[in-house]
Amino acid sequence: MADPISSPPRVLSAAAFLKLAASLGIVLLGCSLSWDSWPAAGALLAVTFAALAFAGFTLKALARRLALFLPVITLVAISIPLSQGFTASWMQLAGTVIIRGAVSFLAGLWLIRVLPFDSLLSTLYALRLPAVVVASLAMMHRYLFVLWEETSRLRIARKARCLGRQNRIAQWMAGIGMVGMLVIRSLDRGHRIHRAMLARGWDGHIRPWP
Amino acid sequence: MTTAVAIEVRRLTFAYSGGSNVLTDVSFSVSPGERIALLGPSGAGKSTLLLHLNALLPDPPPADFETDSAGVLIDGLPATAQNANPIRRRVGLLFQNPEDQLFGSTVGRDVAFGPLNLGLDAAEVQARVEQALNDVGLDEFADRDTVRLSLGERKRACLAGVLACQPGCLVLDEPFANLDPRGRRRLSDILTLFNGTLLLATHDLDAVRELADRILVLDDGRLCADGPTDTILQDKQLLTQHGLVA
Repeated sequence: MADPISSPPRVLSAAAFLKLAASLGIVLLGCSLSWDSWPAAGALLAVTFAALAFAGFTLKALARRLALFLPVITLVAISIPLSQGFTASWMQLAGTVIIRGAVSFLAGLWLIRVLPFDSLLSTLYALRLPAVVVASLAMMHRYLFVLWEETSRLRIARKARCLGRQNRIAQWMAGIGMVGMLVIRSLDRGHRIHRAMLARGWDGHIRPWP
Repeated sequence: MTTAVAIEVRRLTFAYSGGSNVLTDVSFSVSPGERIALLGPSGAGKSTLLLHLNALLPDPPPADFETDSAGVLIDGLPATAQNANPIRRRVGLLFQNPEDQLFGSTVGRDVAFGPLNLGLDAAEVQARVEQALNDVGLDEFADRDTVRLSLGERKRACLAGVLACQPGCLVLDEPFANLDPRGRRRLSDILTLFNGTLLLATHDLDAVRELADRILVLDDGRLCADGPTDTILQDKQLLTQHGLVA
């Protein structure tokens, strides 16, 4: 019977810890700022952009990611006055949400760039994060790529059978069908992964390997 | 050191919930160290049979293992949920799709999964990971992200994960599917060196000639033929009848 207590030593790498701490520091600092303290927020954003540039992020790559993120955080920011009413300070409130979100997002991007995901997991484990959380993050990261590859294959297969232009409604319908298919396939895959874990002696205890 | 495992399947009948029989009255036995190929068309029940050998499916009724009653025995031990741990220590199962089996963030972590579950200490786990990666020719891959592997490398990494548990029996579900000739050659060489019991479900008749001493033919959930590799592969009528050659 495997011993659930015996887990590998939690060895902390100083460089990885500093990177994680710097990233968290930027997030905390960003979240302590409000719209009124925009000069400080601007300075923090400038520092973060500089760090991203040093990490090798091109402007194009950064713009692509921000183009995905900013509409989402803007919607979140606008939803606050929509739910609480448009008070005199609603713009400041929305601006604060956007600044905090943007700083956190950029800090996250920097961390992913400078610290390989595997090192990040080792660092989190060394910092006494529960093994089950570390294992869940590892599997989430692993299967995010698998899911993405599956999505790409479905999209290509759909395109290959789209002879001629489709109207917007048909595109939406096909997209909805694809999402449904992905959910079903993911459930099925989850079942197969569980079997594969059982086949290698998994008994419900997570035993991470540093 | 691998100790070869004996398998006995007795009148195994199985259906998934709400479905018709996937396996019907399947019986055969495998001696320790034998190398068997399981052939059959798609949907014949090969994968289901392999899952039974690892106690991964609900116990087939009747789950009464008195002498001569139905079921699966691994080294004389009934392959039931109750005996799952000792069964899975003896039988290593390689799944068809490496994405289902390769769940570690790096190759080394993934290979360590089985040995860690065996409750081995860190030094022994490390030794087994190194040995298994060496066996499959992936010595330099321990720190490689599992996302960044070719299909052939993924399959070999999966095999390393199974070999690291040092099973006495290796059960492989379509190991050569979608591999290029070089990947197929490498995998075949690795399997040739395995000294335990080998049970291989495949459509690749060249690999069967190379790796198996005996063939079982499964079609529509029933065992249709059981004999030496040369005899079965020379029976063109049998192969055609069961969709094994065009």
